[in-house]
Amino acid sequence: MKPQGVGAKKRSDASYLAHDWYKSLSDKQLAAYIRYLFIYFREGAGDWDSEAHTERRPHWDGGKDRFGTNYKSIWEKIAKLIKASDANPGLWVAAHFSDAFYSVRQSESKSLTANQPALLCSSMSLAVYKEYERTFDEQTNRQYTLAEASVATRYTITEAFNLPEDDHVLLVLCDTSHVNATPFFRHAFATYLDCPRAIKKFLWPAAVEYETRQALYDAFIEKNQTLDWIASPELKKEIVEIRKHWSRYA
Amino acid sequence: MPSHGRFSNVPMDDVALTFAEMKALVRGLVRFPTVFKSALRVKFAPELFNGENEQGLYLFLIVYGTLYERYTNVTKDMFLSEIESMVQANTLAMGPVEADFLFGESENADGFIDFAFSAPARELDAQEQRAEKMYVENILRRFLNARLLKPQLKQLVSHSNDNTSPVDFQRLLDQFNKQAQDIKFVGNEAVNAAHMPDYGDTDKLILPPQFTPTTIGWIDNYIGGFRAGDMLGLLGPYAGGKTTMLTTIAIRLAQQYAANSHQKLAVYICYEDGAQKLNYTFYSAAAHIERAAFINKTPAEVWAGLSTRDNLKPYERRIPVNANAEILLCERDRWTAVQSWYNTNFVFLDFSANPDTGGRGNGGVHEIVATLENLIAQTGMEIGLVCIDYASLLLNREMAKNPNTKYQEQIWRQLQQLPDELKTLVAIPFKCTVVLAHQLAGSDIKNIPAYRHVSHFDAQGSKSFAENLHACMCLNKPDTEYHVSTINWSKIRFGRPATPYGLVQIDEDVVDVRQVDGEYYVNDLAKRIMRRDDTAPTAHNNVVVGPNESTRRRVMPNVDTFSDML
Repeated sequence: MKPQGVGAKKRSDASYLAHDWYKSLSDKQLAAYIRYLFIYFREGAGDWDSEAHTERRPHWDGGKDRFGTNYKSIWEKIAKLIKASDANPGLWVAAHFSDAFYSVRQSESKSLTANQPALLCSSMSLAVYKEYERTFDEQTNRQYTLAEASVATRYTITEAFNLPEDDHVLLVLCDTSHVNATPFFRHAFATYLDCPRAIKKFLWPAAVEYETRQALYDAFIEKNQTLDWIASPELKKEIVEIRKHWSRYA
Repeated sequence: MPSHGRFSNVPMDDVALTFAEMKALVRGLVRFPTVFKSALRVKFAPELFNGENEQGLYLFLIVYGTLYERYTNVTKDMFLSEIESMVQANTLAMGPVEADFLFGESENADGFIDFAFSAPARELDAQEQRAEKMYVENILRRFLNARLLKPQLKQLVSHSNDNTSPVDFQRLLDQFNKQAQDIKFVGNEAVNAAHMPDYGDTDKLILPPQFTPTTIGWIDNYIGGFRAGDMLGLLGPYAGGKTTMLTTIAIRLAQQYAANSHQKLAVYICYEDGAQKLNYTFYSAAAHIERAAFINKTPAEVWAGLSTRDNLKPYERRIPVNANAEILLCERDRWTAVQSWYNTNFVFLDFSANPDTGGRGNGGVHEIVATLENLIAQTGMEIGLVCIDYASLLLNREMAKNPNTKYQEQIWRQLQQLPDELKTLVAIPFKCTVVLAHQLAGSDIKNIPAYRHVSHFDAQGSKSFAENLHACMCLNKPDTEYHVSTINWSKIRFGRPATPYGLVQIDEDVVDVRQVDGEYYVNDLAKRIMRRDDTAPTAHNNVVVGPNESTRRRVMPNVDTFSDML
């Protein structure tokens, strides 16, 4: 058996930053990528060798469950629908964990349930995807405004503690009650305020957030040139690593 | 100078009109032609100036009215020419007293004509002009009531004997009623408030007030923040966390005012409990100190018990302020750091009707207004936020003190009107946001499980409670397992969030409310709130086959899967 990577053309790092990088993934790699993202968004498990990712789930992954019932893998069905819709797989999964998902479900009077893989290949999935794309700029703009306001307020108020600058920024950005920001924006402000510990702390969740929505974030930054700092080179480096992992997944 | 209005026990209309007011009225009619036009519609006539020394004003209005009828606008030159020609043509009889009054006693002295047509000493801004117009309208109303309506009523009554009444008595009364109404609204000309200004005119372009983020996720992520003049509702069940939520809002806003150097106050008004029972909640919310640190303790024990950096308490490792897990702030640090902004920007008004405060809390909305005005005068700061805890107690106390409503059992009408009253008397005049807490109906809420979302239609006392609110957030009771509650922004008059639903975790130990949609979700199938990594019942299109292949059964509802179409 040929070892992984042998004979493959060396691919430049820049090619992993292309918006259509996923097109080079095989069906199996794409299915694994979707599976990881789904479990990450649903259960918050970041490490790809964590139990949440490594345990076999027959209902989703296919195979026999403990009752002896046979299932087919759902991930390949999702991948097939994404390809048929000419959609971005990362964005597809992210959309199903966003407000757009609830918005579309509510408009169709569907009940709220645990988000499960079958809902990613349902009749309303494409509508969820489109709605997410449509509202992304507005949502991101709002998220940025709220993040900026809450970070600024908390930063000023905590000046009373007289902490060293690096500690001060770390204290503010890690505050989950007073600071209303997604990991992506926490990481962005950590970079802006030059706090290495906060940068490191939010790097992974921010990278996954950015990686899944890269095309839309880049378009947003293009329209708002003054915010070009929100996607740092370090973040881009991290998404190259993430994509390399999936491109080499066997 | 007679004392008027709120500073006097005599109602305004009972005070006799003075000659100075009459002059101010006539001058006001010249300055505000729309008021004059409106006065003519309710049969205002120069003949009404029939009192002693009023002949000059009568003559002035004769000439002014003639010109107004012909040209609508009247200038001083037009007036002088017209009065001269009328006197020469003998259509206007003017004695020396009236001539002195109108033209001045000597050549250098100003007469009433100069006074009436004179411009104000300086240019008045829109607010001052509005105030002056209201002043003139008020004198006009009193004048018309005294000189037009009252004599007619007197005449009607005096013409009939004790045991008779005029024919068509009811019709005559209706007619007076109509005239009284017309006088009441004299000067209320219709103004189009939606004028479209010229392109680039920044002064006349009226825009909605801007949202100021509160830094609270469960508010900002739905309505974008607070706006000045907005009236918001917070509905929740008994002991469901309304006070904790209101406290969090007030403390967080005070903190924000301090951080941004806004000279504003976050005011918390509680009708339920006084300082003794609530202060420790505010301290807890501001300094993130667990409430247990204040319970059953003497002041000395409280100070001695606050943790230092060397002896942190176990709970301090889990609070959001210390979520970084590296720089852990102790209770003494936190207390000292918040004290300055807390004392400057947060005010608690104890309206629990206890004797220590002189029984404050029985006066309804007007008591709130008067207290806020005093607060502004005392502190020199503006009011940014008013949190009121809670609506039915505010109304019930006020109604119990009023003989007319003392025994009234239903408060639905007052409850429906309260948000409007608070909006018009507090939110708009003080340019602040008002958050009013109210209970959900006990009979309804007990049948709604914790994982469901409640709406303002479940409000206690009045289903129309939210009718006059700009936005209303409804909080359900917390679930017993995780103490997570559903929230539903069931009414938002501006914009529409992607979803009005969310989840919050109310921490009663260290007073705080966090949005936890990232950690928990509502599972309709399991009929409960679950952690995201909990094992959940699944609902998919597969048919579960039991150990015995013959017993094929569908165990869960079908999900509208698209996969079969591929």
